[in-house]
Amino acid sequence: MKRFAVIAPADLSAAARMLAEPNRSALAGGVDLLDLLKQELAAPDELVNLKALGGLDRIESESGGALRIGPLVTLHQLAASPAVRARHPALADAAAEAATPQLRNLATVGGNLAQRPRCWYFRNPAIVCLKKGGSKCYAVAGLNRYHAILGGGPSFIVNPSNLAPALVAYDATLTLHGPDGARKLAIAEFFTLPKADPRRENALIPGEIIAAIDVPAPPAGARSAYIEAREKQSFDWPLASAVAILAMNRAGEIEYARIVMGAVAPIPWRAPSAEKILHGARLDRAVADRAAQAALEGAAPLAHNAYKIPIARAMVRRAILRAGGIADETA
Amino acid sequence: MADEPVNPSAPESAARFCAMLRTKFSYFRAPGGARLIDPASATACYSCMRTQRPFGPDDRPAGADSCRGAARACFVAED
Amino acid sequence: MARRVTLRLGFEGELRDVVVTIPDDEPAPWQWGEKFSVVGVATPRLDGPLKATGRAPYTCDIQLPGMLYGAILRSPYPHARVRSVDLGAARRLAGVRAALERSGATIRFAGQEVAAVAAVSPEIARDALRLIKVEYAPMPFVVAMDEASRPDAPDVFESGGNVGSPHLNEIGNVAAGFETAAASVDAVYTTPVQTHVSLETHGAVASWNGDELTVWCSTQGIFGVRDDLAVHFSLPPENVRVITAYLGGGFGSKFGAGHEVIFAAELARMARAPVKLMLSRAEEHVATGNRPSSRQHVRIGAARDGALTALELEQHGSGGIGGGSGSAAPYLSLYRCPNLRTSEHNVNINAGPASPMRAPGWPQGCFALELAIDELARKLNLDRLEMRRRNNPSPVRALEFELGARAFRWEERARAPKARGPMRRGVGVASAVWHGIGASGPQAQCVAFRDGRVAVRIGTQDVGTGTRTIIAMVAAEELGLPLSSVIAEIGDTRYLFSLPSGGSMTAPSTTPAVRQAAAHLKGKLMRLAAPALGAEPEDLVISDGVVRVRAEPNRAMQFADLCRRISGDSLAADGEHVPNYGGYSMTQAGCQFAGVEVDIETGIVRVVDFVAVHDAGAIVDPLTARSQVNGGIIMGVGFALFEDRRLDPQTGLMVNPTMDDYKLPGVLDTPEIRAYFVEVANGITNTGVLGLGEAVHVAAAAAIGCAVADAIGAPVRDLPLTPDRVLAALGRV
Repeated sequence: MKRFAVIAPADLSAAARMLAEPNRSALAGGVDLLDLLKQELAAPDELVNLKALGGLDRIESESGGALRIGPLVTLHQLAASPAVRARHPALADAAAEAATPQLRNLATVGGNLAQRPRCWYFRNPAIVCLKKGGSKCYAVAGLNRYHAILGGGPSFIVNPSNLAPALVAYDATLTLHGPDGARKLAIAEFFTLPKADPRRENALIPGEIIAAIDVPAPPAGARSAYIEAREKQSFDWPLASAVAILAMNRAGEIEYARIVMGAVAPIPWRAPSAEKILHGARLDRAVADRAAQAALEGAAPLAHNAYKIPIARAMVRRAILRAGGIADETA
Repeated sequence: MADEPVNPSAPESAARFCAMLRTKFSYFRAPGGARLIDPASATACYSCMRTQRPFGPDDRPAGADSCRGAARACFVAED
Repeated sequence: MARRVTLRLGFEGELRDVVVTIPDDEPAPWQWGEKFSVVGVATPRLDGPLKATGRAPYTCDIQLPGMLYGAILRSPYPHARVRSVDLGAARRLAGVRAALERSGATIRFAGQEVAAVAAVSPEIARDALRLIKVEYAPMPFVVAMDEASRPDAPDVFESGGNVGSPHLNEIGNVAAGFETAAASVDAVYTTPVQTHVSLETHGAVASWNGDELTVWCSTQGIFGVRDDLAVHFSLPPENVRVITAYLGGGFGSKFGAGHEVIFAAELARMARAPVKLMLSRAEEHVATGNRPSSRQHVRIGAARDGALTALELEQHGSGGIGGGSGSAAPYLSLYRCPNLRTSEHNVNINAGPASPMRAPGWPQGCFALELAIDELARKLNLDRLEMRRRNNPSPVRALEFELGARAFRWEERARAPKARGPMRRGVGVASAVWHGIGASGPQAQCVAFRDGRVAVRIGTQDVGTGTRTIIAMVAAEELGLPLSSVIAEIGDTRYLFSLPSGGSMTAPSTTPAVRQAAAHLKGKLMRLAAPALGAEPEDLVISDGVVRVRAEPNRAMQFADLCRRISGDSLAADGEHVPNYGGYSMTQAGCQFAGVEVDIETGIVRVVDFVAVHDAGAIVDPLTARSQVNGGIIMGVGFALFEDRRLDPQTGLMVNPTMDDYKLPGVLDTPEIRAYFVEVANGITNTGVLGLGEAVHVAAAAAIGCAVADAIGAPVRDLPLTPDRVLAALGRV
């Protein structure tokens, strides 16, 4: 770990200006940052301490059910918030399933969205892979059991954020504060595919900070669910996760459906083909099955990760059934 | 089998092994004082005290068979 | 001088009297059913509060004035010649006090040591490593065992091929045995490389005073480290002192002075200042040992009634650039089989060397053998427990099977419906054998002080199993004192010699020496008390801290008052482990039952519960005994479900050298564990205590593997039982 100094900004604009300088990193919960520093994947001279800024650690809820989430809100706050659980239970569950209680007390929403991927080639300081300016993605011909089955190439990382699929499903908007002021960006546009630039995972430009996460209320009567599959039940990353949001009309037909998967692609992976099957259908197990099949159509596994396809399919089906109030046999 | 009970009648006299040869049971002694090195073990892991590695200063593997007798240049007799 | 003593040996229902001859100065062995006041009482470990509050000084906690920090440069190449190493720039960095080069000629695994430095801070030491210029000439390498076995594979050692000559065992006539078999199984099973993952990494603090060296070291064997350092530095052993007050695990990886200990001492001598060198987690994974992999081709046959007729193992295993990958031991002794043949081949690959790991060879061998037995039982349409009963050679295990089956409700659960939605339940049972009977060598000292305290001193180390607690309990029991009066002092080569803590030998080897020392001290104390109580020493007894005349209990003296009659400051006596003088059994039987739940849509396995039944001889502390069972099973869950040292075929680097990517069981992955002990009076020593560390780990992964096969109706023959493999066995991927 290289020697560094911690500097404290006076306000968001100052923080953005500080971060626009070379060799600086933002410090929030410090969870992923500490890993990156220890593995010598980041070697900043200065850490800009966002915790010095007040007011970024609050969850505000509007009467209509919309949420404004500060970037320094911890995963624990999110998981424990009655306001979040009321209308956005998939977000609360996604936060609750992440990491460990100790880490959830430290990890922030902003950090969770901006964390770097867990790919073991990327994380190995001795390997200069595509993401670090090298010439190849080692996962292609290497050990790729945890890598992307959708949207991969030329890099095959998966987005590691638990919150991202839920926030994409709920149509969240990010406020990004940069040296030249603030801009708003739909979260689906925040995450970027490696096709565009394999070295990056999102649209943040130097100096930009996630300043707020606005989550609109889901459609009236909508129900949602988050579910993930982990090899280990204590402290593990998902092999696949799924968020489903469903709203039915009076006739019991699905009139609103959102399906987003996590840990299967370099970005949170929305499944419009699954949503299309659900739309207008009456929910039963067969419909959920067909939607889950559709969600994984086009999956292109590498040598060792085809098993993630049935797992992701099971997660989609279970999320749909759970959101639709159909008894879950795994509970 | 190295991890069977310590055999009080260890078959081999340790004096024939290099003094630098190490394996778990070389830290145990049989009645009579010989180090318990059992060439018949299929689970013993060997290393050389000169290199702290599983090979000797001559770059060849360390083992109960290969570190026995003065034929090897790096051989050190036990006291 | 010796005397004859009659021992009641065996276990409930199988007791017999055996007359043995024991030395005169040896206390009579504890007898079957004997009542104790300290021993056998569930006792929280004495150092628990210190450990739980962070006050127990582990090696990494040692801070000395002027202490430097060491760090090691390791090769990023799995196979290379080192052309040159230039330490100049590193040496010139401000704060660097010493540097050494240790590449040798050939690098054989990624992570092999090349150089080391000592500096005034750990950060500067790491900065200095980056300044070391090494010129490598990379060579072709091989990190997969199958590939290494091919004739055209790169040679790991120039001196020969990668596949070693086999270890062979043969009994009876295997071919004839298969001819008489009513059914047989022919299958290949594999197990991965597992690393020890001791919570405390390897490391040492070395401090020189002239030609005297003191080393605080994370080791399972303080005397082995002392002797290795003495050899390395050409010092008399008495010039080297090794201290291991507290140890965060070893599991077999911490015998002797490893490279990190030698480097710490060399750097300290060069810098003329103490040096602390603790390895990182990544270094721990790649360079300090591991359990070798295995590929086990098993053929097994049985008669219609389940009696085994033939068993054959063709095994390959890799301990990286080390050896010791055999896994045949369970095949040779776990079950009765008249015709068996095993062949074990070690295969070299360019990976860090193996070291002994908790029951070397056994968990691997048990996994394959027990799964094969289940597959055979299914073909014969026999209950899997019944199949094991028919081939079980151990009367103790026969009883354990009964106890375990009742506690686990085997009859009911083995026949219960398996499905609940996508969840499938299964059960498995597997057998264990160990030999935790101890060995001679340990000597102990018991000292009574004028203020009434008693210290028991022995040069053993507590590898984390509770040694400190149980030796204090044994001394308190023998001296008739409450446990609070006894202090256990261990982990220092200034105390009398004891063995390394490995091979499940610590409790059975140290407790007899401690008990004899306590008995000798008691003799001296009784001689001191006799004139004051107007009785002969042999007419005195001591219990609960009071010395009494046996026939007249009112003639008594407090232990504290007795100690005030000590003419100097202390009264000391020594004792030693007396060699086995007539044991009931040299082996230690066990069996474990596992219940699992498998999600057939995700392939994810959860271990629900375990019943473990073991022979631990006399139990000193039921709590530490239970902790051993818990630890052995949890480690078995890791081996069964998660752990796998993964080497990248492109670079030869380990891709998961962290505790994030190298997956270990956590709280939610830990099953409900119920432990039962069969009280077996073995007459092996004066305490009859057996070591439990390995016995409790041997069968755990096997029982889980059998339960998973039961749950999904198909064996998963490769560890770990990850979702991809479970789904493949189900035909779902």
